[in-house]
Amino acid sequence: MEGQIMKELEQASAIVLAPPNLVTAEQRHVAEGIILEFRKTKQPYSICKYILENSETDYVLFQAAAAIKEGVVREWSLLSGDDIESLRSFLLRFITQHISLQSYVREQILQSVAVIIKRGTLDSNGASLDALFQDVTQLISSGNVTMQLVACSILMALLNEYSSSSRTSTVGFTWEFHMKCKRAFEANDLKRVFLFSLQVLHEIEKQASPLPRETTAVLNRFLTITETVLCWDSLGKRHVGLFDLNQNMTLKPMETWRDTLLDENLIQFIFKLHKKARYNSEMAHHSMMCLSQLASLNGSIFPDDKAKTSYLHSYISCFLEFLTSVDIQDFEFLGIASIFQNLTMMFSATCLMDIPKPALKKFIEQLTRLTCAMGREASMEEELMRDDTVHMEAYEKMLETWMVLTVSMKDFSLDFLQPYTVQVFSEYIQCHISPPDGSRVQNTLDSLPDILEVIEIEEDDREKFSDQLCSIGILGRLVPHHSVPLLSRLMEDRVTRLHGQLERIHQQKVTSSGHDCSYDMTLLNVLNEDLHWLVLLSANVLTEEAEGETPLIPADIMNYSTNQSSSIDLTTTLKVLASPGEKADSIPGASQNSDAVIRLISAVFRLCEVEKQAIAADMSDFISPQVGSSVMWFLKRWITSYLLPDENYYAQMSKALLAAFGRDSEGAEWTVSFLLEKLVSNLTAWTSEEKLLTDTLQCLVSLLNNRSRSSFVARCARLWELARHEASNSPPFNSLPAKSKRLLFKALVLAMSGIKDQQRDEYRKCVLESLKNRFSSLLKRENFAKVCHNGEIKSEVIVLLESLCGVAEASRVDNITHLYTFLHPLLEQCVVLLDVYHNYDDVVPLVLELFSEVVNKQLCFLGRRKSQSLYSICLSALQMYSKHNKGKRIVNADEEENRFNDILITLELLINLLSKDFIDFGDPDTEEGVPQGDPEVNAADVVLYGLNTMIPLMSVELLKFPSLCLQYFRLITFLAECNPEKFSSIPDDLFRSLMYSVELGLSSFGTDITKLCLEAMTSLATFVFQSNLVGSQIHNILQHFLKLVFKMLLLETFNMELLGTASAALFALICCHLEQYRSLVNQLLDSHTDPLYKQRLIEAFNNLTPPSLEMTINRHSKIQFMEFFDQFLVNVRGFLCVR
Amino acid sequence: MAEEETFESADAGASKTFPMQCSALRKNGFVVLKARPCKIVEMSTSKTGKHGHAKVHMVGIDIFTGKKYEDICPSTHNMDVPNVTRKEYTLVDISDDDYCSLMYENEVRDDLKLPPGEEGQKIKEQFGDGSEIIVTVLKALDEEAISSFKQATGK
Repeated sequence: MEGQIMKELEQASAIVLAPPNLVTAEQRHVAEGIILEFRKTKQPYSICKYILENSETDYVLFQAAAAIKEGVVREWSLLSGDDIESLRSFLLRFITQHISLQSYVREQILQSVAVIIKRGTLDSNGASLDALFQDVTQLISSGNVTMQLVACSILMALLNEYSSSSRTSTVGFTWEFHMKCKRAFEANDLKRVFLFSLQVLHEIEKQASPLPRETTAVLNRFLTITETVLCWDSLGKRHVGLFDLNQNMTLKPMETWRDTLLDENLIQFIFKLHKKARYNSEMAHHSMMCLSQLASLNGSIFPDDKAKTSYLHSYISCFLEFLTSVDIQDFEFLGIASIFQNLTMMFSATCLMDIPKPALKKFIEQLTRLTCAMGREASMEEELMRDDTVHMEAYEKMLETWMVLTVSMKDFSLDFLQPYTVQVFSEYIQCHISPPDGSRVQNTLDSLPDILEVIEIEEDDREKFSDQLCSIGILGRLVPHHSVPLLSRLMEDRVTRLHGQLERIHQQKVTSSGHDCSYDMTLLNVLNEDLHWLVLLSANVLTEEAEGETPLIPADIMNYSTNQSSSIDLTTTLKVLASPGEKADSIPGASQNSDAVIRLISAVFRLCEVEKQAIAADMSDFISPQVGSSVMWFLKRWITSYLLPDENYYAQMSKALLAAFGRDSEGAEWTVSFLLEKLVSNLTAWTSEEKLLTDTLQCLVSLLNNRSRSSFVARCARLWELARHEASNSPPFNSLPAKSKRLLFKALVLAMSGIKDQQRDEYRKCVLESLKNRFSSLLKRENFAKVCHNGEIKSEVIVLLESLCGVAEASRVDNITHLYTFLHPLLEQCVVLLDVYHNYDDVVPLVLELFSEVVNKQLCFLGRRKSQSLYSICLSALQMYSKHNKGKRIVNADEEENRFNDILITLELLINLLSKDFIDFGDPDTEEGVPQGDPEVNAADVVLYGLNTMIPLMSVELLKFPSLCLQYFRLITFLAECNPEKFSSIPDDLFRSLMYSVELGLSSFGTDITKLCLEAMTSLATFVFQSNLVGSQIHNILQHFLKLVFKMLLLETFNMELLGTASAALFALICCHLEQYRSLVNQLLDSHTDPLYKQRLIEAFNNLTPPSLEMTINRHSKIQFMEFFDQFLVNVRGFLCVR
Repeated sequence: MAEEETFESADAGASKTFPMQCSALRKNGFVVLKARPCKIVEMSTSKTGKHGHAKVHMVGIDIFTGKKYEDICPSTHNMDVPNVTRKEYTLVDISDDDYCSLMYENEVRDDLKLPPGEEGQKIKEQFGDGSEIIVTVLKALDEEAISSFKQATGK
């Protein structure tokens, strides 16, 4: 009988494992059925034992072990303590007697043992861990390496099972049960495992190096166990029902660990151990992880600050001893950086300052030395374009450590850090510039004079390294007296050399009078790379990233400049600034008497001047567009904080900065005109370098997007010239790419705000009228509908649409009246474009974008009548779009995302149309009401019309594109919030598809979308409840959603961050469908047979909606429900969620 | 301008090609590569070294033959862009040798063949089933061909 079953299984497993060409799908299916059936066998223990002892097929052994595990879990209550104990010891004995087992079989058997033990954790008849630990001790002391490794596997299996994480096997326990076992294990056994492995490690440590191979294997395994214990993650309440593994846990053990972990010898020992392990990168990783976790020790284990300081001190002492006694290997860098980072993050500055000064000093010295060393390695790694980026990661961790230090040490004094900061800063510069000042290894591609190979453009350095540049900038600002003059000196030197080199090439060109001759670009490339980095660094030292805030001159720089005021001469300083064509040193007194901040800025201006002159001399082939881009980026950041600063923002202004860039200064006037010249020069020369053009235009925009700056610009004749050139569509601006027109027009229109009243009309005419005329005359051509497909005409249309988008983007409260009047009639003509170009995916999205941009930028300022008229023109556009798309568009999911740009933009347009409900600066009183007779168009109706077109397009395939998905659900949620009543006027079939998409959205597209869908549910349910729409279609469909949300919150994986949103939705849905809710509760209760759980569930549900809770949707009830619900989840999700 | 209106055809007066700066070309747009009108299916900007100037690399598919062409040129250079027109005709008949009778505003032409391969086969089948078929005819560089079709009922 048993032999028969075994044979059958062996045959079945042969079929399951056979290659596909030898067996049919049918056969395989049958074979799988046999195995699955076997796994469900009742009381499978004796047959499994038989199989384990007699079968020689690994796969069958594996299945037998799994069957035992599942059987024990299933039939736990039927088994006696002895049965279980004998099973456990049988399995262990089996392993030790069959040491040549395949490892997957062995691990499965041990997993079964661990599960059996875990199942008994909270049970009196469970197999005790004590017995197991005895076995483990025996295995270890056997001296047999194979046995020792088995012991390791047992401990590892225990840790995996008790971690109750994704590493735990799925056996159908409730989350609560997992958690209780975990807690019990933490309290009783985790430390035992730790001590146990320490004991083994101590023995290994005593052995002489080099360790024999077998011992190394044991060492490696026990290090892994130690690491696992030290990375143990004690989950909190927020994780109820989740089995995720938290990756970045700090070490926060219970107080009972005090004697072990605060033992001074422990850290020393682990460092010793690491020294033994560090000859193998894998082992070193585990021992490093142990050390890095110990560096993060925190929590109640420290009785007081003194204990903390003393731990920190002994850690640092051991760490320093280690660092000074070895040559660090590549694979250790990351771990060492983590130790530094953990120590500074987890121990406060007070703690750090309390350790003896010599130790602290040495600590910072090592931090500095290693930061510099890692920086060197990292830049080498970067230049040689290695795939491996360990050094870069380690270096960034070190910089983060510095950032933590500079913030936390601020309360004491940063003076102490300054000499070290100087080193880190200088090292960074050195790594990025060429010899002899620097140590950069020139990338082979750059240094080759004539490379035929073309490299793909990758992310710009300023983005790619923005974090580290920002950190280095902060470090540089801590020591401006060092960093600013250093940068100036290097930059001036390179600019002079660039100038010289370009002049030589120019000479050569002149002498060869246009004949082809090759030029050596090597030196130029080296200079360009230096300049590129110096500009990026200067930008990061002089300015701060100011996302969403008013950009200011950093205080460190301001103070630095102010402190020089007594030693500098203003006239000399201004001369240094205003003579970009000359060497700074050629100005008398420049080196002693000029302000160092302004001198650095002027160095960048000098670079601008060299570029500009080279362009004028027809030498642009020899100028680097990359350096040009970096310079424009520098200026864009610099302009917004330094040029014409608002003195009210500063407690104290540096006189030199005021004289050079202040609001009433001649310096500022000169600067503005200098910059404008440079920008125009770039626009002329670089029509085919898109990135550089964009940077240049963005710089122009930031020069003009502030009134005081634009009024300075407006005084320059160049601005008018620029406007006239554009107006006449004459060179060079007629050859700018269409995309650039958008920013150009944005800038030109923004400039309007700075122009004096009497001239403003003239300027406006120049900029806007010409655009209007070009647009209208194009569209009014008699045969436009015929010739519009002509490529040249289409390109012109695209250029004009981009220009109009730019105008729309420049809309502001002070120009809104004019821009509205200007754009409105053009929008009407754009509807025609949607018609004739409906087949062209380069025109349609652009037209829609124009509408969306106008609505986005203008709607909030418009009064009622103008809003109405904007709504109706949008409606016409949507009708036209709909005419060509509704029911005609076939969406193929395998197309690229940008093929659906029109859909994405239409969704944005619809969202923007709804925005007036949120932001409205329009003054209803200044305009007369809607003229009688005109039907009122409201935003919601327009949106609804649009939605009718969009819903059929938004297939499941399309929703898989994240951007489309997000905008679609944002729209739905917005509409539900502002105009829930509109949902009842959506045609039935569309309403159903809409609701189906919301159902998908609840679970399929990630947390953000789930949140939006829950919010939409809340809005709809609230509306239904408050308008008492019982029996309506919406009301009916909400019943379905109640079921979904109920199930999702109680039984499925659910992100607890959504608790607030989810409870609001659930409450609103319950209020709409009390009856349905009650029956759901009853169904859930009925599904639970365990009387204890059932009772707890009943109580929990009673507490969730106590009689005192008013089942109406108001603020008070909602808040109350949220509190109850929070409690409820903590109580019941623990046993409702099962793994 | 005056001469232009004396022609009756839709692309009257338009040159066969017009120049465009390479950097302004777009994916899915048209360009002349090796004297053939192509649709750009791949386009990437690259540069010779970090401090080099932009070059445009493009791959085009001949809109009539489906053959692939490639080119690389500095982005400052001009390229020829073909004027491509599409016109929709009602399919009236298909001859035995696969020539189609196409009608546009009551004028019928018989000079275009069915597209080769699957597309042509589909047109034939659906036309045989009695569906009303609209075909799109592409024209560029004085060459014309049927490029796609749809059933008129969808309109």
